[in-house]
Amino acid sequence: MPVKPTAIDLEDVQGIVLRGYGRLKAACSLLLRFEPDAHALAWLADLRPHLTSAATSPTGSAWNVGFTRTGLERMELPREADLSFDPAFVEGMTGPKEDGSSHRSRLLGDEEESAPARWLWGNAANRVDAVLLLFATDDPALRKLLAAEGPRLARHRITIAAALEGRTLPERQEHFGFRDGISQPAVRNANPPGARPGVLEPGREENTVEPGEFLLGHCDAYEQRSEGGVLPADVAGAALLPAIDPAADPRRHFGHDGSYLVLRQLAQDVTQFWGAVRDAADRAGVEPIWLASRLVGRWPSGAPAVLATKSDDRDLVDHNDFGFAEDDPDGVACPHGSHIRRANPRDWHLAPRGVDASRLSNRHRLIRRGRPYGKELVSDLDPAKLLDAPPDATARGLQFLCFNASIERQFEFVQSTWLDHRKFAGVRDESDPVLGTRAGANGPFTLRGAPFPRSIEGLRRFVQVRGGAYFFVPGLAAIDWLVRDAATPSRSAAPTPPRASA
Amino acid sequence: MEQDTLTIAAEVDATRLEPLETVLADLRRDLDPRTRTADPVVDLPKLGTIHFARFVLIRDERGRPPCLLFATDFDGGRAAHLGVLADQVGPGLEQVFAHCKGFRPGRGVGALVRWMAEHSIEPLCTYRGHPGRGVDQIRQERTLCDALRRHLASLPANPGLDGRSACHAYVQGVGQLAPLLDPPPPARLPQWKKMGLRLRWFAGNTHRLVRALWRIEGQLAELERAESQAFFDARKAATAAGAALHGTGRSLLEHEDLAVSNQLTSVAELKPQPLRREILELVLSAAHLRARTRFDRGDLSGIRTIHFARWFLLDEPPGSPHPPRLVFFSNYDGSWESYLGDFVDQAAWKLTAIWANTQGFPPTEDLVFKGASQERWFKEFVRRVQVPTQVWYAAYPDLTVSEVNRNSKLRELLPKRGGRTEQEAWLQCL
Repeated sequence: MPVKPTAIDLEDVQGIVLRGYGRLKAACSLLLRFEPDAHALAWLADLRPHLTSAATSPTGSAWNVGFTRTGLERMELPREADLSFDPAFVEGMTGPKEDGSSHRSRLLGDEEESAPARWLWGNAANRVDAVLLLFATDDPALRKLLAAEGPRLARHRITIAAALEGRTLPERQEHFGFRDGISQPAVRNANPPGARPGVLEPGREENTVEPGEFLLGHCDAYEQRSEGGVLPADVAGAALLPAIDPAADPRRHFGHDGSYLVLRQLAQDVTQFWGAVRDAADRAGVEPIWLASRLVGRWPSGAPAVLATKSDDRDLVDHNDFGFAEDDPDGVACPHGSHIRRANPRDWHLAPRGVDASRLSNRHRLIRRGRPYGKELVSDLDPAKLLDAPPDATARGLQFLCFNASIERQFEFVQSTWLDHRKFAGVRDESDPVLGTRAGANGPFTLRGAPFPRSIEGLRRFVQVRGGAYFFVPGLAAIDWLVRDAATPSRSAAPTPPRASA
Repeated sequence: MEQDTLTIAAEVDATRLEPLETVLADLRRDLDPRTRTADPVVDLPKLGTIHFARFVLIRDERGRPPCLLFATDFDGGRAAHLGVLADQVGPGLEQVFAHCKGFRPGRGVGALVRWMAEHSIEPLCTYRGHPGRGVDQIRQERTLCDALRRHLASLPANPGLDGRSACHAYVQGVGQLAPLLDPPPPARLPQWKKMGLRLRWFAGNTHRLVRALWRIEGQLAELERAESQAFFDARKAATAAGAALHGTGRSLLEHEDLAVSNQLTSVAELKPQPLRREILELVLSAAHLRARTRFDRGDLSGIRTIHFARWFLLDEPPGSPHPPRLVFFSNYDGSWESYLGDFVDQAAWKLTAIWANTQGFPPTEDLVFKGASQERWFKEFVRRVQVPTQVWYAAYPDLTVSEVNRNSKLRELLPKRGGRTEQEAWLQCL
């Protein structure tokens, strides 16, 4: 039966799902492991008062938490929950084999140098059970936060498997020098007051997505309720969890107001990217920054290539109101295989005429919360300087985070059917020019235009996966249910007051 | 070029199940050039006329004997195909079929052909994404397209250059390619033949249609209510034990996404009411007609990723307590998730009209509503009825339906005269 759209209780949703925390410039994801002697539940109970909801916009600091399937096991979540969780979450990002031959690794392109066996974390060698997402206004404040969280973790004997910093680079650029995070879906019925414009403001209808696409327990793009972690009606502490449907289905919904978090550490090779662009531009007799903007689909400033066809246009920074079918059906200004067309084809979709293509594309949207890590290659990330900058030894890249309610239909679909599909939109054996895996191949990338299409060669895999895991970020009521019996130790050692807000 | 399908079903000798699995596992390994350790026992590529083929071993948990399916999509007529199979890969096929009940190997080509013919099943519906294009033609046109792209890349990017004329002249000069300038064989049926098919369908099915509608009127609403109740009750009863089973279907995945093309085999038990079978046969025969008269351009109701698909029934011997099973084979492009998503997005009501007649399908209303449009439940249903395909062969696993069709168009338009529009249309096919 179709589910009616419902209001979202922002107090129950963990803040990072619906807010980017743009004012909190410093971030750190602590990847945690619960060894057999860890007091996982007690730690969560201890942490609970600090967790930040989506109800207010934090100005000082923020805490959010997520768990892998193995982590939820340690939180004593019954196995029944697996029946309704996304199978990708239950299985985990690596699949059964870690050499890149698992189905999931093939689908995600986690092969060869990016195979799970070679990751820094998230594999058997460095298992991860939970992630603690910490945000603060600046680096000193973040260090203070970490100085308080460290002892708390140590007290509960929880191991830090890895700590990923998340930075805010000038002009919100990523390391290749392009402004990032411009296009985000608007979530129907969930506009937190004070969220940064351009992210979750009431959007144009073509960019508005049902809440159930990101939050379980709500109406999704198919008018069904997104479900995950469904438990028997008589589960212990049932009264603390909402029923699936108070009228018709008394089973309890652990997943209510929760969301799946996809976290991937993506290393970027900046000099290799710009070197390949420079060489290809030389061979084709075009301007390198123009060519790079065809690959990305936006200019470094963020101006869309569809509209700014000849040169960058500062007036179009963050401009997001355009369509591909509408503005560039033949892919002349913004090639069919470019990164932003692949990442979200918008109104241009492999669907018959007369079908609302935006609506179909919107069944595969992601809320992105990624932040760059590592020092930038040149201080202002000016592409003209990046082009000729010599390589250095710094590790840098993107700490990719995104939220969705179906990993298979959203994140994995975008990755395999759009970004890394060799035949996407009729291209012939290409891959995403920025993120693509290009297993062994050397390019190509087709530029359309007079007098006939031309391919550029020499593109390599510029982005490698260094770690990754699927987490579940529960609603706060669900966390209260998990810790209902856990002894709450003294909070004297706790850092700054909870929910620091305006 | 005429194309047809072969579907063979035979009961497996229960004592020979394990050796059969070994033979099939070896065949799978050796048909894939990346894993080959020996010549394949059944050298299907050698024939040069097979587009897709598969062996499926169906083990039934409800007490039916195990069953082996062998299926091909091929060029030419069926009688000739059977003859060529027996002639060229007969000994290999006999090694496989020897595990079936009552099969006696070594009786010669004629006996093998007879056995295969006796065990073949006529599908209720077949679909082709690039009708009329033979394996040879598809491969030649790919070669042509690659050559043209290479040739264009070698030309200077003069704004005024007419790429098509340059390519035409180039192909005329290359001995291997020049024959492809001759017009290709017609790919689709002419209008008068389509009209004939339609008339024949209506003549043969009108009385069935009327009878089915009559029965639907009387029974359907109540039936759908009861089925819906049973569906929700089953969901609510799901237990921790089910969670363990949940994982077993995932083994299917290890054989998906090895190339651009993929396969799917599903086996679903029909619902017990005679009305269900009646509806199913009617719907599939209408779909079969539409596949020939309307969906003959690489687009099945908006889904442009299916090379070949077929539906057939596995009937039970008289007196069996088991309902018949609906088997579906598909050879498609891209991932399972995108394929199923396309189905739900573009053709949900048509899927519902077919699979609502099988057990475990999400609740429906008025035969075609709800059902498959309930995306989550529908995909769960498909994974539940899907079975592993032990052996799968694809003649061109890295070509999509759309590429096959575009390559044909590229070749067709190459020698034609015309102005800018034709030139543009040709460029779009590159």
